[in-house]
Amino acid sequence: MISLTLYYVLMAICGLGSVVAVFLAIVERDMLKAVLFSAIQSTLYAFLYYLLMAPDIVLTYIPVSVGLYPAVILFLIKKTERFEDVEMKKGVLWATGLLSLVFVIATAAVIAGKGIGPVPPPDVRFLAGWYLATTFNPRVHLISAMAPEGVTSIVWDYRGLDTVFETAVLFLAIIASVALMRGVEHKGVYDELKHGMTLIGKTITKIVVPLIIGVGISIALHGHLTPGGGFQGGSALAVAPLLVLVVFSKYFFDKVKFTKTKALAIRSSGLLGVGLTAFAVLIAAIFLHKPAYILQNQPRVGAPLGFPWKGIDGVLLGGSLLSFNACEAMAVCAGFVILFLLLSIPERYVRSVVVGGEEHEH
Amino acid sequence: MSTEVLSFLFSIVFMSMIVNTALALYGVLARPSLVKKIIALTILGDSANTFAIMVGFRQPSGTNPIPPVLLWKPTPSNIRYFISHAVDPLPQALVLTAIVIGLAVTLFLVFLTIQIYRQYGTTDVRKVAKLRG
Amino acid sequence: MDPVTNWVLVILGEILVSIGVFFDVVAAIGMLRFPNFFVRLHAATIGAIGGAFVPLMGVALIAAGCDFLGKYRWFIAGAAAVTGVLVLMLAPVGSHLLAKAAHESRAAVVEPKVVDFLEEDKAKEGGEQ
Repeated sequence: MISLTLYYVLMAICGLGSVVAVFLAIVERDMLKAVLFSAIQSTLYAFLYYLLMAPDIVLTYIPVSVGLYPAVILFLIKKTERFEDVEMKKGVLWATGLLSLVFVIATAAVIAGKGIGPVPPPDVRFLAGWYLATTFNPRVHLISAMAPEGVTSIVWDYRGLDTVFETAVLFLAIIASVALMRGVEHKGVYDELKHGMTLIGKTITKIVVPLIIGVGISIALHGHLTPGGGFQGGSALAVAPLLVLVVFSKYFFDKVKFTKTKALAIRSSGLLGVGLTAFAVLIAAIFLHKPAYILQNQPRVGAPLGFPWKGIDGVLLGGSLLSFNACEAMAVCAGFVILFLLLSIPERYVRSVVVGGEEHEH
Repeated sequence: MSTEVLSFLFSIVFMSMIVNTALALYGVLARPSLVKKIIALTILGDSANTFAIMVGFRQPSGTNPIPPVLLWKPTPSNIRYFISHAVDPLPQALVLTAIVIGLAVTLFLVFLTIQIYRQYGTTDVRKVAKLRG
Repeated sequence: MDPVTNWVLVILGEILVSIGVFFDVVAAIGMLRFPNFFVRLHAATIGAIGGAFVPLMGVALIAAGCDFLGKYRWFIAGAAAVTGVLVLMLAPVGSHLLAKAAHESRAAVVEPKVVDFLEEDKAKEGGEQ
């Protein structure tokens, strides 16, 4: 029982530490420091997700919240204001901070002492048991997703339609951001010495970026076997272009002729791939004159067609999940690259296009 | 005794998330800077996601839970062990997409804030409200 | 492997971890006591190399010498070694770029200053142009 107590102690430390980090992030007047505290909070949450047995979430959360969020907010602070114009008394601040910590411990003691505390139940809900039982079970092939990864099976098989619509939300958010910056095209000539960081930084980035890309592709393509998948792989992959953008400067992308249009093309082909995979079995069934469903993965009752789940030598292919994961990773990564490219355009230039002739004096 | 200690420690995590949500709500509603509002909004979303994952957590008696990934051959005994020890995969699947979409929406808010700064020259909502009209 | 090799690996690993503890303490004292940003950065890098790379290699050796870990033995050893090599590669570059950025943006004041060659070189270049 000792190790189990230790396990919960680690969880509690992560929780209390995150309260301190969140408090400092919220009351801090200097935005740069606030971003730093927010990143500390994200790291603690990532530990917490690991302890709560959610490796998929850890794989998404670390690139997104520890890598991409702070980078984007730093871009934002660079383009806008660094300090917040607000007055707070030191005494009130300390009192509030201490009060929140005391509140956490006291309330936890009260609800635990009364015996109504949220003890994790020994069993999961019936629905979860059903998912766990059928995610990879060859003996009930007609109701199984035939992929050992429970989370990815739910994302792309059991609740595949949800995910398709969520992909649409992602698509719309990116399109809306692109629309805000329409008409802004900026090109420059890349100068090895003038642009970006020093030679040491560039050399090490050349070593690290292939590693990141390799890890991202591996997360995406092993999504049906181990923790990972399209969203996780895509957000891990998006770190690599961001790193190149920061270290080599935006003009490097102009030099290798990787423009916004190309990123849009990659993203659209990824989305097209998601759509084609969703309809693949249905299209095949139309030609073979058999019944089928949209987003069908494995054969179902009355719909005998399906993706292959087992390759040569019993290699698990995961049916449609493999294709979905690869296409979604492409779409997510390229979508974020578009936004980073737009964020990195120098503000003076954007202002001349967006605000145009009516330049305000402040 | 032991169960009460575990309950206390787990309650600490639970209450921490509630306090984090409250602090983040204060940041979103009461702080004037739009940048601070965006930071607080990400914290709010993360805390809500953590609640969802905690709902799916379980504690099989005596042993540690395992992630919802079947790492062995799908024999009946292995699947029975898997069902009795793995945590709920459904909240994780929902949170997974929520995090990535949250990033996209935050990026949209970042673009909006930059646009507001271009037009008004400030990210302070009080000043923006005064400048209107 | 035979028990003697295992013991040698474990003891070597434990020596490396103890060296790491020493470096971590030294780095922490340096962070608190040093006067300005650049020497404090130097202390932080000591913490990253001496206090993270060296003990990670020690962990790799300890894991390689532990029979009871079974199939996870080489997994832990390899993961620790790879992480250590990545830290060895990335930590110096990070502190180099931080120092460069702090020097160029003049965010950190060099005080007490004996000599600043980078500043003198820049002044010379500026004079020539």
